[in-house]
Amino acid sequence: MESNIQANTPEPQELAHLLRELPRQTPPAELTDRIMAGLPGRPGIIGLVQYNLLRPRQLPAAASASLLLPAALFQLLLAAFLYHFSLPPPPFCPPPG
Amino acid sequence: MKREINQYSSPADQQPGSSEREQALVARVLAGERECFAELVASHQSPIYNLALRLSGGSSEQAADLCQEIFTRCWLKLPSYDPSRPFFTWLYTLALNVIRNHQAQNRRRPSPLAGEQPETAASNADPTVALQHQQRHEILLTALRHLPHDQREALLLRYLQEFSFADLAATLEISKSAAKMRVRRGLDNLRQIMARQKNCDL
Repeated sequence: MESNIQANTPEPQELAHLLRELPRQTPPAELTDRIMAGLPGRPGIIGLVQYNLLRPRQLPAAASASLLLPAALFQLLLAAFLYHFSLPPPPFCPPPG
Repeated sequence: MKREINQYSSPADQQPGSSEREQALVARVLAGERECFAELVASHQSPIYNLALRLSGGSSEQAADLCQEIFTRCWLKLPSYDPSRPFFTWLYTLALNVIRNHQAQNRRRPSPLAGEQPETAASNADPTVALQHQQRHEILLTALRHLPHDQREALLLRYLQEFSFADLAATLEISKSAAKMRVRRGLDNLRQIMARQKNCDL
């Protein structure tokens, strides 16, 4: 019975032919417009172009601001550390009595 | 014949010289002529849509969403396109990456290829023959669903999109012999899966 099933299964060449025969679906008529113009909440190509034209310098500025704060904090801590160790030692006070 | 039935053109059906035409279009897009991108979209959206439909969830809305994401990515990455490579293989590599990412994010969704019924190609044929065709396609699509993703990609690109092995290798970024091997293995696995399905049905 197993060999019968194998015998009835299409050969690889026949499978290739079946795959070629798979029906293709026509995309929605407005797909190109949708890709170009976008949907609410999903910008299309035109939206991306406008975004790039209107805000060319804001993206790098925002990126550098996110790096600036940790760098400033680190410099502040380093300055405090160096200042602490650069202070002269406290004057010697003999113990009372 | 197939083009008449399906109004569909795969990359392999493209006119001679279309590659040069596409390179020129890409150059014009990069020079700032946005309208030329719409031409690129229009010439590739149908095969990309069908690939997305077969590889992802199968619903037409999901395939349209994927198409939009693929062409948006294409727009954003176009400055990094290497003109020594055919445009369509570059586009398909990008499309496969988008679809793979989508698959990875939606592992718990219903299995792929299980969505809407595709349009029947033989709508004007004998109803009995059309029904047989439809049944064969359903069996095939069910078996495809159980194939490993890389083999399914290879089979769909090779036979649904009618890629040559050279184009398949360039798209999958593997050697030509590896592409042939993947297709061969995919066909063998598909045959075994179909045999098991028949076994279960009996």
